[in-house]
Amino acid sequence: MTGMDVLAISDLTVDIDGPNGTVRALDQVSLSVAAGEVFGLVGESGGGKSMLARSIVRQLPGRARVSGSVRVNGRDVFAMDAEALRQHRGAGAALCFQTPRSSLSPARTVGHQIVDRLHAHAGMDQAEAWDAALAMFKQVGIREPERRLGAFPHEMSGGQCQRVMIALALACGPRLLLADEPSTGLDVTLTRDILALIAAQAGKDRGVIVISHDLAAIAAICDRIGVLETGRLVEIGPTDQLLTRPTHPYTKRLVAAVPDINRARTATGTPVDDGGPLLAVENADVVYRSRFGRQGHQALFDVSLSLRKGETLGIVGESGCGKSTLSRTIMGLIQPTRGRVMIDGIDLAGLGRSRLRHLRNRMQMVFQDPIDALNPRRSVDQIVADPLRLIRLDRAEQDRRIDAILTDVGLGPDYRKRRPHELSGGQAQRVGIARALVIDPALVVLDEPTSALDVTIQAQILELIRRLTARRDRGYLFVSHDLAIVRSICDRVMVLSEGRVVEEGPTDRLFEAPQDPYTRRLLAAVPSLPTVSERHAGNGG
Amino acid sequence: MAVVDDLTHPPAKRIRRGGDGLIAAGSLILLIVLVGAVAAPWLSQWGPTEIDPIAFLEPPGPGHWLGTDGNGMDIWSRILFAARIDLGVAVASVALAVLVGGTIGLATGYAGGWVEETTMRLLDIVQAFPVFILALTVAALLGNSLHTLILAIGLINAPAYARLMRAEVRSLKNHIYIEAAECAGNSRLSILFRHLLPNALTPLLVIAPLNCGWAILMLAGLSFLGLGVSVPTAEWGAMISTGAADVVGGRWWTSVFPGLALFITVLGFNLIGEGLLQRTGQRR
Repeated sequence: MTGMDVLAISDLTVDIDGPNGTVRALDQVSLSVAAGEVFGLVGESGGGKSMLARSIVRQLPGRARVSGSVRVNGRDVFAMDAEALRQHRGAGAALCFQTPRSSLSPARTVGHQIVDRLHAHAGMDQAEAWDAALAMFKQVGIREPERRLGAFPHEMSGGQCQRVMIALALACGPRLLLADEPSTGLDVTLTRDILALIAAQAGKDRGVIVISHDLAAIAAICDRIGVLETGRLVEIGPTDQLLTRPTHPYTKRLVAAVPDINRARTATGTPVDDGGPLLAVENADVVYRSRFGRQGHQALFDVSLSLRKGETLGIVGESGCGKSTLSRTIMGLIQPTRGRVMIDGIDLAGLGRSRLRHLRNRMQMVFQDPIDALNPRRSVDQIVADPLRLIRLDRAEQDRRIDAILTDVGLGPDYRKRRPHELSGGQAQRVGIARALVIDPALVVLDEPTSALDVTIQAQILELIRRLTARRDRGYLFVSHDLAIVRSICDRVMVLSEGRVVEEGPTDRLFEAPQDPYTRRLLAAVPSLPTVSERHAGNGG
Repeated sequence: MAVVDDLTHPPAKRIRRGGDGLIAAGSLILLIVLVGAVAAPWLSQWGPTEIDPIAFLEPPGPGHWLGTDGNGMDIWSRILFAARIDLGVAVASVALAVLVGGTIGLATGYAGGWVEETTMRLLDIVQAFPVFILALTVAALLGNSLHTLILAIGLINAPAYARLMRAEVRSLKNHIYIEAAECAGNSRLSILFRHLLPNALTPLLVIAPLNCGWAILMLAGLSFLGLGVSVPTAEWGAMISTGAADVVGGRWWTSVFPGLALFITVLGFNLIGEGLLQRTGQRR
């Protein structure tokens, strides 16, 4: 089933000279990819994945020093002259960049961009090139390909842009297709389709490399997987073996960190019922008004929910479904156009600015982008102390609280004087959680708190959130696009689609017997490791 | 075998944040001018408005190092004392511009909507006038005391800072930490001054030194046209102006030396400003 090697890397080491000394981006990496094979490259940010891809197309940053060799189709990439390199980049190895929309020129139609490439690399005349472009668009599954040829990148969705990017990469018939994080920014259902499309490009004389931080997502399509940790290839092997019998500790951590949709909730106990709901949203509509008061985009339609103390409610849906609008409406950052939001039975809309401000000691929020949620000019203790100014504590009490909460989120008082740029993503999110909890709010909204983090860091933050929600002393609203995570944390789940609630129910009921077709589609698209290894076992490896 | 890749990229440029040399040179110049201004009474044996009755339009020599002007006043002494006025007016007017313009920009940028639109259009109108004509008009209307000169030069400059601050605030307020600050229960004032201002101030402070040089030129220009500081008070622009008639008769020292002082001081401010722009990566 697999043919000759299209890629052979041996002892590749890349050093980058930077202002703070030399960084070893890749350390003695050796691997090969055969024709017909789909090879997965996983690891966390800074692991050297993108650097490896860039070595293969020889697009390293200026001050890179390289030793070892990269051979594509038997030819040493670092021995090529300029013309050979130009040929290599079209017909040898083609790279699909991480962010398709910004990798496409905004000033030209996507049709022109693909025709340009066919013209330059394959020497086709205009008519031939347009025919070929149309054929490529059909091949990568772009709907209405004739019309789409004349579209600009900003007129297309993220998934469509990714397809155009793949078509561009395939235009000159490369022997090796490299896809760098092809699922970034795509929803579960789209991710599955795009990955399947990429995997389908492996053929009798073409190999495919898929680079991702998301082991679960790519495991379903890869024949073999290599694991990169800080520039070293720590483990490489058939997908099945790597997932079921990982040998290197880092691989074990990665595999263990993948959230498992079949894993039921670990939290025990039941919500504390002490009268009325902590949070109630009643028939809320949110319409974003465009400039000059014209009718704008409606983000939420008739959304109702309630949350009791001690309960964790999950809100799931794909990007653009209104999750963030809902959490910001609950926090009083957006006013609902119709309907109301009530905290402890108090309608937020009826409050003045000042009283709403003082109600904020009852509700706090943790944000998606942990770094950007922290003011770069302030130290950790200033950031964490910010909400405390609502309740005026004396200095000693305030310090005691900050130390206690920093310890509780797993950082400790040593972090007090650090600034946001001295924190990793995971540490920054712990500070964000500390800031939300320091005032002891009754309601905490967690808006995609882990989606910007690497998997192993994500697992640690989730552990922290699990520990917090298990105390049953607050109401938590957990907003996420990741169903596996939601299952392991929430008591109840609400599914949002295009601004409407399509289904709501207890977590286990919803995951085991989804009623709405949309929920079923969403659940079916979630990758999970056991089903992957079953698939491989079924196919005979 | 180590390969340095040179096919894909031009030879590596040195990545060094420049500008330190410029800042040092500019600071040295301004330090010298400042010392001259502060120590003026000890550095010259004549007062700035003291008339030497036996020396009118005397060329540079041992008695009067840089000569005397048509009134018999010592030019070296007048240059030193003029530095006090010129530096003072420059720094005060720019401080006023940063304060007024910065506050307007901060408030309107955060408020947005029609408040912002209206204010910016008003500032457009102010900025549409040629700056110097505007300064002339204000100085002519308010009279030419030092205070009104500071006010005129400062206010004319304020719209530029308002614009800069507003642009900065507009991009900053989309950061999540501003939303987080609101969730943490900060009042609007607190968001403005605790969270937005410290992050938005840098570009304004970088432009300020360049602007000080400009303010000195503006003051000198007004004085030259007779609307700024008037004789006998020592000020570089006024000195150049009164000396201009004598230059035609060959008494070059009356105008050239104050002109040099003006030039060197403005150069000092501009070197610092340029250096800061490079340091903060706004210019290479």
